[in-house]
Parts: sequence; structure tokens; C-alpha cells
Amino acid sequence: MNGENEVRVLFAAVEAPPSRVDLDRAVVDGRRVVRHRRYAWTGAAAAVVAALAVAVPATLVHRPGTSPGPGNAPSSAPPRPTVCTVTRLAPPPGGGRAVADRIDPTGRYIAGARVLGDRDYFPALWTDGVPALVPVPGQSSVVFGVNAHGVLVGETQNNGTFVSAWVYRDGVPTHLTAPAGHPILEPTGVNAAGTVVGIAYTADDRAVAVRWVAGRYDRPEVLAAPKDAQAWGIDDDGTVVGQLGMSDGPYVWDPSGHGTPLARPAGYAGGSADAIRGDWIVGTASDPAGDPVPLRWNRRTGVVERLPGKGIGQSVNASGMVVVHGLEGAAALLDARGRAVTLPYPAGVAHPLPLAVADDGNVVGSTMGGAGTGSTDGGVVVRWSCG
Amino acid sequence: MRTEDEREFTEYVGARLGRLHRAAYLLCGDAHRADDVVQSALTTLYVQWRKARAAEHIDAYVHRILVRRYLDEKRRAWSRVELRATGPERTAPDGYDVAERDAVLQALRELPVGQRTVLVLRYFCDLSVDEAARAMGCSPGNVKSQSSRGLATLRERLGATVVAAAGPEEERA
Repeated sequence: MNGENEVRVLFAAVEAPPSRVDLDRAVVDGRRVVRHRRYAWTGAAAAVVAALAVAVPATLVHRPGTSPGPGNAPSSAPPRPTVCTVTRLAPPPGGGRAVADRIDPTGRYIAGARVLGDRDYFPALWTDGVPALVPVPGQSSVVFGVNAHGVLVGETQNNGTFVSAWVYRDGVPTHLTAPAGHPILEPTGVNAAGTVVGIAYTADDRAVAVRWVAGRYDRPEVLAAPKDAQAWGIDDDGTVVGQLGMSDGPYVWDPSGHGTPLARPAGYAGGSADAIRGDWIVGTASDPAGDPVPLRWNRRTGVVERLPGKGIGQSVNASGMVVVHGLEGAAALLDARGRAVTLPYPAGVAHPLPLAVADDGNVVGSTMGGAGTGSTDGGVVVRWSCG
Repeated sequence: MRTEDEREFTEYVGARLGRLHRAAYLLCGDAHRADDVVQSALTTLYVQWRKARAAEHIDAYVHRILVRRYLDEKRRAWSRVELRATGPERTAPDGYDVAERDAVLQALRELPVGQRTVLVLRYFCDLSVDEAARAMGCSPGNVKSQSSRGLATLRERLGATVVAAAGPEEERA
């Protein structure tokens, strides 16, 4: 006994002055962030990245062209560290901050936005590093997916209200039609063939996973599931990943639309499958302590692996490199063996966070003050080339 | 976030806002910064609500967000001036000594950040050693050593107050 109870008594007696904390404001700020949810992850101070990075070994061992998952990890030869170089990309025309967090599998196209204030987003597409605005009509639009041909999918809102979801191809936007009874759409991905997946909500917030086959954007297909479901990504082979219910766990639909749960390691609960590419799926589940942790499934071997650190698996490339979002907005790039990659930063820029990874080892990242956090940091888009 | 989630969020936070704010006040030693830390943590929690709910041990998750926001705040240069409360003196509850509160806050303020955070998490938020370690992103051993050092220092600085507040039984414990 070293005074623990005394300190409890003292702390319990400390009366705080009246709080100015405003729950309604948190809801309003939070809504603003969620509206463009992907950007929320970039809001944390770069210092937090260190907190995630210390949780994983510092050695860097990506071997390009291999898929060293748990079933076939290289054993003895000292692996060559993954080395990354960084390029600061020019912002889109028109001023404001820049943010980008989607990259197509080839690494050629990067999608993001020019941001005015905290809430108005104007879609932008970088082709081979050269930015251009994407002229989608509406007050605020966000890109949620880009494929190897530069086709974009996204959503437009006016004053926080859903207006439309669209596919943008060769300068022409095409509206996605909502399934009956589910008027609010959130497209989440597009594959090389142009097939789109997303989520459709009823007015009372029930969610279904939806697929629009390429060229039939006026014919939504609700993916069968035993309860509410959400689709978060689609592979070029047509496999769709997502989640069942609010926290029933990761779910996957084969190209025919047949859905099955994805196995989690013993003791892990809840979660979602957040991205898919080739042999790999990444996602999230709660570990036995209840913390969300990143998982990676090898589709070829069927092995599921808990990646180091805490957070949410968000992006994966064909060789198994992963971007993990930490709990409070930090992010880290893991190589194919699940080890943290050291990322260089451009001079004079608050540390950008990695947000998505392409098959060629290109990684897109951004700095940006999180909407609603009061921060005015950043607004710079970078591309790392890692190999 | 959909309506149903939002209702759960406001219910959850509404029930805990007072404790969260007091925890932040103990950490920051300043009412305004405590407000800022909690406000920012709530926005983060809103955005991550679905993941937070799925985390099962949601309280530990929320404490982690709070601690990270507090540490972020500490890192910012604008933790500079000591902003003591300047408004009218708050009414203290019966039998409560304002000088004692100030002494506790002052003693906490003089502790290293790690020790202060450990003490608040363990002895105000009632987190276990393991939960505190997760919230702070350090090892349980680190939490234990910071706890004992922090307790020793607090005891030294607040000796008389500790005795008075805890009563003779605690002294014998």
C-alpha cells in the first residue's frame, strides 16, 4: 500500500469547474468529418505516427514480387529493407488545401480533392503526378475509388445532404441508380472492369451492400446477406469485401454474389474486411482485449494473420503491403512481411500520413488538419515510391 | 453516422461526459484546456464510433482517445502559459476545501507527464495496469514504475493533505 487509496480519495474530491464541452458541437463536427470520412483519418498530429510505429519492429524487409505471407515467409536470408523516396505533388488548381487518399493498382492515378474550408471538397485526379480538377457538379463531392483506367466513383452532397453517387469516366459523370427503398448511396470501390460496389441506406438507416456491374449503372444489385451489410471494396476478379451488421464481422461475396463470413483468429470478434487486392484482403477485428487490430487474409492459403500494432487495415496491394490507420488517425505502411516501413518526409512539410498503396509500391499520403479538430495544418499531397 | 449510431453515441457520451471532463481536468490542470481536449476527443470518438462500438471495451478505447488528445495537446507549443482559472470562485461542495483541490492540481502539475497520466488513469478512471498501458501505448511494467514513482512524489508533496483526506485507517493500511 503506497497511498493508492489516499490518492483515489483526493482525486474523487477534485471538483472541476463547469464544462464548456458541447456534445451537440461534437456531433456537428463529427458529422462534417464523417461526411468525408476518408479524410478524417489524416487529421492526427504526425507525432501520433510514432506511437503506432513503436509497436512494430523497425526492420524493413519488403521483397518486391513475392507474397511472403505466413505460409511462405522467407526464412533465413537477410531481407533487403524497403526503401522509399518521397515526392511532393503539385496541388490542384484553384487554391485551398489539397488531400488525396486513393491510388489505383497501377500507381498511375491518384484521387483526392481540393478542399475549401472544412467542408467543401472538389474532386481532383493526379495522372502521373499531374493534378486536374474533376468537374462534378454540386457543392461538395468526394472520390471513393479509382481504377487502373482513371475511372472514379464518388458522391455529392449539398449542406450535408446526399444528392447523388456517380461514376466519372472520360470526362462524363454517370449517376448510379439506388436500389428500391434505399435512396442514400455511398459508393466505395470500382474495379478495372468498371464494376462498382457500395452501400445503400434506407431513410431509417438500414444498410445493404450493392453492386453495379460495369455499364449497367442503372441496375443496382443488392448483395444477399442474412442481415444489414456493407461493401467496402471489390477486386478485379469481382470478389467483394465488407462487413455484416454493425459488428458481426468481416464478410466476402464471390463474383456470383454468394456471401460468406471471413474467419478471424480465435478470440477475435467483430470487425470488417476493408480492402482486397489479388491474393490479399485486409481488415479489422477486435482483439481479445477489445482493441481494434489490423488483420490480413491470404486468399490463396486461407491463412489469416494479425498484423502488428493497433488500428484498422485500410489498403493492400498485390504483394501484401498494407496501410494501417492507427486508432486516432495515425497511419503506417507495413511491408509484405508486416513490418513498418520508414517513410521519408519532404522538407518543410508537417509529416504526411500514408493512406493507400498501389501494386508498384507507390503510396499516396497527405497532411491535413482534421475537419472539426481546429487544426489548420497541412494540405499537402505526397507520393512515396517504395521498393 | 446514421441516426441509430448517433443516438447510441449521444447516450454513451452523455452518461460519461462529467467523468471524462474531470479526468481531463486532472490531466491538464486547467479548465479551458480540459474542455478543448474533451471536445476534440469527442469528435474523434464520433467519427470512429462504429469501430469503437465494435471494440467491446469501449471505455478503454475512449480513455485512449482522451489520453492521446491530451498528449497531442501537450506537444503543441500553446501549452505555454499557465492559464489559471480567472472566473469567480466556484462553489465548493460541503466539506470540500478549495485550497486542497488547488494543492492536488499543483502537485499533479509538477509531476512528469507520464506519471501524472498514469495516476489519473489508474486512480481516477479506475483503469487496470494493463488498460492504462494500452491507453498510453507503453508497457505494463512502465505503468507500474510510473505509478509508484508518481505516488511517492504525491505523497511527499501532499503528505498532510493525504493524511487528512484518507483518515487514519488508510494510514495504517
